[in-house]
Amino acid sequence: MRLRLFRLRLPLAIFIILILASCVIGYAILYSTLMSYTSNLREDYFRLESKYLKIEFPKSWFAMQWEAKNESSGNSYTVLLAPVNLHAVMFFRVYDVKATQTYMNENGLSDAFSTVIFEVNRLYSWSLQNNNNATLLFNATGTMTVSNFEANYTIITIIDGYKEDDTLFSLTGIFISWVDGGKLIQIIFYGKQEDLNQTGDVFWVILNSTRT
Amino acid sequence: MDLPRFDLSRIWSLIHILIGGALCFFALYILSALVQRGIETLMVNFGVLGAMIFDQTMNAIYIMMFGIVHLPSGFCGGLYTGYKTKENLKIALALPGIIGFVAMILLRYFYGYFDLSNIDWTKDILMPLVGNTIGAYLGGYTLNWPTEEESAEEGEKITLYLEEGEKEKKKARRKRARNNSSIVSP
Repeated sequence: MRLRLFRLRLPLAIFIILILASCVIGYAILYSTLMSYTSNLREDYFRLESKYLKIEFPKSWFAMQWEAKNESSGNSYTVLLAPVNLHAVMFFRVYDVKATQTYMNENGLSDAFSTVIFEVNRLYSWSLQNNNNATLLFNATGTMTVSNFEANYTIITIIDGYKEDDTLFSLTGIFISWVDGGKLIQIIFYGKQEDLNQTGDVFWVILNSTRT
Repeated sequence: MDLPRFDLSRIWSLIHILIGGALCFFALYILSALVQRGIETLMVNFGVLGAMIFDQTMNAIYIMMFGIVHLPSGFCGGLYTGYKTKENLKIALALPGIIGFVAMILLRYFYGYFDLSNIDWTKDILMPLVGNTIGAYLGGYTLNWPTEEESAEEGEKITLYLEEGEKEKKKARRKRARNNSSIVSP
């Protein structure tokens, strides 16, 4: 039996080889992932394709996805996107038919527009916990085309709705919702007013790339 | 009445195994925090933080964690145990990695970072446990591995013993011959 490998004791040599191998394999997988998921249209965007949703989002943004599975109340799929160092967050949520019915029945909702108002109220209630005097303003309400569907939307501002280091900031948000074949799809983008203004262009790129 | 006899060397080797497990645990705690933070910082600096959403990226990170966190932490525990314990290495070196792993799982569970209802057996259990255990064996055997110089020395010792044995045999033969001649001569 050989006692040494590369002038090192055999177990030490195996240890170093294993470390190097795991780093090389990990890097190779990471590199191929970065290459294969880069958007065809924009180099600095990733392309996410799941069975519920197709979107493109900036490579530098924080992103995570999860699926909540429940046999009795249905399944929902969520994607969360957030720019680093800015107070803004973007949600994509897709409910299957069963989950849509459960969500609507539990909250007394009837259509896509009522879900928009419900989510706005939910954010406003959260803001009131930060500041009792927060004021909700509806800036615009209407319909727009997203992923070839007619979607309801509303743009809101909550004045002094966000507290950070004892300083109050205003929140701005856009809430979009539509129903596709009994499945409810929601897109929510909100954050500090100044931060949201900085990411407005990116939001429209993401929205235009969205396919359900 | 006979009092039960304690084998002190066995108790000491148990203590050394426990210390090895503690070393493995501390290394695991420090390395996992450092490496996770390091990978996140690298991804932010390279502008690819969004890649964390893909399963392949997470798999790549787990593979790197295996090599950079679990193997070295097991290796640390194994080095100490292998340095202090010289008997039953096969059994003694299996334990520091397991002790370190179990302590880490308990810590994560009590701080709420380990959800028992949602365990990924491969990523949460198998990879860390195997990494720690292999690391501990490699660390322990690194110190107890016979080097070529040692084996050459052993070879020399064996030849010396043989030579000495030959000399003694010759002496014994000469003595016998002398004795025989003294019996015959008168």
